[in-house]
Amino acid sequence: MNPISRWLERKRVEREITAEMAAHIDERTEQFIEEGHSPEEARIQARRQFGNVTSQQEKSREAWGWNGMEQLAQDARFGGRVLAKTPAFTLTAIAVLALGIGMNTAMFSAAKAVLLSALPYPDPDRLVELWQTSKAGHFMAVSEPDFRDWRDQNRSMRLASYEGDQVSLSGNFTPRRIHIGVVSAGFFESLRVQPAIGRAFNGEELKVGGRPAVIIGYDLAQGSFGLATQSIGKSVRLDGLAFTVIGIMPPGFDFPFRAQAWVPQEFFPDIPSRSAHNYRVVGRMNPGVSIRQAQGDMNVIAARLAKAYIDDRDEGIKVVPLYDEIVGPVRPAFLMLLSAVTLVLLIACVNISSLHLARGTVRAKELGLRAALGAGRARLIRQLLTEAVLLAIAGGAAGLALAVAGTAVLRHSAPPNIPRLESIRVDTSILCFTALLSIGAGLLFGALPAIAGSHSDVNEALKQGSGKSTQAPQLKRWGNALVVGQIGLAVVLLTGASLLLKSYWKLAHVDAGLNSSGVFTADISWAAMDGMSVNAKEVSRLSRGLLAGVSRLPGVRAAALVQPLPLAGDGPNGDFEMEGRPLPADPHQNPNAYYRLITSQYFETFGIPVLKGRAFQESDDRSQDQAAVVNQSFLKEFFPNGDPIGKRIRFFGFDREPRFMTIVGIVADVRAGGLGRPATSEVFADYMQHAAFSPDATLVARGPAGAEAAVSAIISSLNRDTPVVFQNMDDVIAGSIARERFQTVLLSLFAGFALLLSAVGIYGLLSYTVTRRTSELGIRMTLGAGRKAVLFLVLSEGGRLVAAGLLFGLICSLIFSRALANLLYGVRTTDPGTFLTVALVFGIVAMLGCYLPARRASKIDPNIALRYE
Amino acid sequence: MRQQRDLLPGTLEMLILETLRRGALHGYAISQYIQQTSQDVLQVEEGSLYPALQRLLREGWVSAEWGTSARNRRVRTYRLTPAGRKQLEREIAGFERLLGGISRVIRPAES
Repeated sequence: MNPISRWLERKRVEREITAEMAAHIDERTEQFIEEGHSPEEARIQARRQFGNVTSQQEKSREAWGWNGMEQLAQDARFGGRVLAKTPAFTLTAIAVLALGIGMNTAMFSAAKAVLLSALPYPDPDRLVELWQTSKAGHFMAVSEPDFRDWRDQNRSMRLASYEGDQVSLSGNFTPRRIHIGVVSAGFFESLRVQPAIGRAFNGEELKVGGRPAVIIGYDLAQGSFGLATQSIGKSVRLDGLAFTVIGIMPPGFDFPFRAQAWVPQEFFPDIPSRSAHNYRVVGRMNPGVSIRQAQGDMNVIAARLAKAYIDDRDEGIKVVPLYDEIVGPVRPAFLMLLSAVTLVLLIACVNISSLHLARGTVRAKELGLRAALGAGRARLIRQLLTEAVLLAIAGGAAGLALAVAGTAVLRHSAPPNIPRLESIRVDTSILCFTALLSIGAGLLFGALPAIAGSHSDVNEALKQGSGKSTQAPQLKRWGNALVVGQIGLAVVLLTGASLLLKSYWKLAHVDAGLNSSGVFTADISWAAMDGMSVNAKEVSRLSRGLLAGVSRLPGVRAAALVQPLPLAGDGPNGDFEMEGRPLPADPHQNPNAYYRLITSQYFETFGIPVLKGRAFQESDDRSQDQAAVVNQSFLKEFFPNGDPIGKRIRFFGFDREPRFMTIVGIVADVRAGGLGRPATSEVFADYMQHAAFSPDATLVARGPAGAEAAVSAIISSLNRDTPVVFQNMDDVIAGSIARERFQTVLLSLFAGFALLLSAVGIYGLLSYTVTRRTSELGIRMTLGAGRKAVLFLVLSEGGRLVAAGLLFGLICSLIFSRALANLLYGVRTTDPGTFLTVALVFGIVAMLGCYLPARRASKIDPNIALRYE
Repeated sequence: MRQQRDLLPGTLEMLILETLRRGALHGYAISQYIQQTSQDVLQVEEGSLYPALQRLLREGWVSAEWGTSARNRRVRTYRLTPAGRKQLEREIAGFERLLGGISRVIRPAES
């Protein structure tokens, strides 16, 4: 049957039923009249005996099973009208839901991109990362000889080593700084990813001084050569050294460390020391080998190496799934944010539920009327649920729009050290998730009021005015519980956010030991390679030229080169010996310090005070004697009772032939390794005396903003293949705590929203209470209660709820804030100041939510109130 | 409002079928017959007859056609179909089993 004839058929049946019932009542009436009743009495009696006509008609239609869709459409239409009639409630509810669902979808999309998606390599769960472990259990990178032994002796995995670096890329295009991976043979085979175009490295390229070859990433190839396919066979220069492009990796491949190009490790000379921990190791487990078996295999090798080499004594090997290695560091923060955002949605649902509940009671009369007109209980519940789901769908749609915007914001505002976040997008599964969530939320907040609402006893509901309702005490308990729960959850979020905020504030205001404002930095990697080694003469010439040029710029007060820049990541450290002191028998006990290469005006540029002795002078550059400056921590650690000035030290891994350096000065500590970490022992050496060390350096200069163009011009006039990346030192420092800021901002956003929601929640509940008690309050006022007394009455009711919620929330916070311990700096998870502030702020905001309805109550006119239904 | 005593589910349908076994009747007459013969024991809301009749129509146990009542009103007359007759037998058998069971529980000595 087509829809039209089905519809006609149905109309016919409905007409017949209606006619039939009318005939029945007429027959009965006639009979009563024959029995001697008055016509009026007879009709009333006949109707009473027949029962509810509408209800019976509906049941008759139901017998044919047509009602489902029709009633749904009817409910939806009616629900739409009801919602449109109370725009304030509807808009609040939709906004609350949209924000809750939007935040959730955005956060879960981010979590999916970062935490849930598998690594983008075939059989990703077979991939592992291997670490050398110290006696204390610290993870260390691996030396080249150790890696070779691991690779050759193990029977359970295929291993490859890799490291990351930053170099200058130049050619027939604008030079740029890129990340590269220096990878051993077997690297691509282990990951099972091969170049999409071209080929992998061959034997000619995998040897020291072999043919220089590079594989580049898809995006880089397109960016530099236009078409990726055209880049094969082209020549590019990495730090000035010519390489031939032999392959292009598939789009999206950027392991390790967001590499844009890969060169073979075998091309560079060996570093034969077993204590030079330079390489990371990735492995693919053979089929059937479990991670425990692999670990067992490596334990045997570690024991063998520890026996054979003094540098490997007490050191172990740890096998870790590659997924944990990549995602592990950000997991705690993400789980924290996910739980927070889930709490927000829960609060949002509870909030709407309580708003619905309050309104549902006000609607008791309407529902009672509908019951009297023949609506069954199931029908009423369905009506209320339909309204709830309508709201949830509207909120979900708006939330989805918000989520799309939110993920875009997340993608652009996230710190670069969160892995894989760039792949975040709202996809179909998240879309389904949102839909389920919004409908689930609809059912959740619809169910309680619907069940409460459908209890309506027809007679009672009709007898009573809209102001009072018989089931009020029961509903009110629900309402109170919802508000207390809501406040409690919001307090938990607020406490967490406050702890993070306080921690972030402390971190951002730590005295790093250097004055960064007004200092700009320029990252340089001189294109000055001479075959395999750095052309030291050229680096010195370029560096001197740059410093001379920059210091002539108007407004530049001090300029220096430094390698590496402090607060921009972990710097190098090394073992050293002090002249006249015997070395310990165990090489693990060697003195160890971080080292940094600088030029003469470095301390001046950053305003780091020289406490004793002197800083470097330009005369040091040309001197045959190497000078060193140490920091206070170094003094405390190695010369607690003596004067180090004039003493000589020598780093083992420094230069080709390390020489003794004379300590000439002591400077104040700088938290160079990160704002959250205490300063460590540090040795400064003269950059010019160690120019062969590396072609990398960072120019730091105290000077006017806008000097960048002039500096660029100086650099390209010295060497046109050298790209430069500018950044303010303030931004470098901000970048070092970007992840902390990210999580703090997000959690604060969630907590602020939760605070707002619970204020709205308590406002809604009290407004409803005041409306319901209008006549009672009127009586009280007639009997002599003053406005203040009424104000106090309502405030104290709200105050009790707020106090209960606060107490509940603070107790929960005490329990849950422990989970934040690892994310906090300088703040204990039970910080009393924070808890007090939260209680205070929350109390004020919540009491504001109470005050508005209370003031309305105190303005009630008793004359009107008494006549109020 | 006076409390209605609910019939066992399906009982009303069975009573309607039984009533129609004696001949075709319209709705009002069916309700009259059920009330009189049960001596007002079964106080059914008269209206509830119609949803039940629709269910029987849908199952094909009764058929209906429009006719005229004794008081000259246009009414729908219902007639038992062969399928309805079989259904009635099944229902009566089931009902008697149930009744027997109940009476054995209530008056165990007499059974």
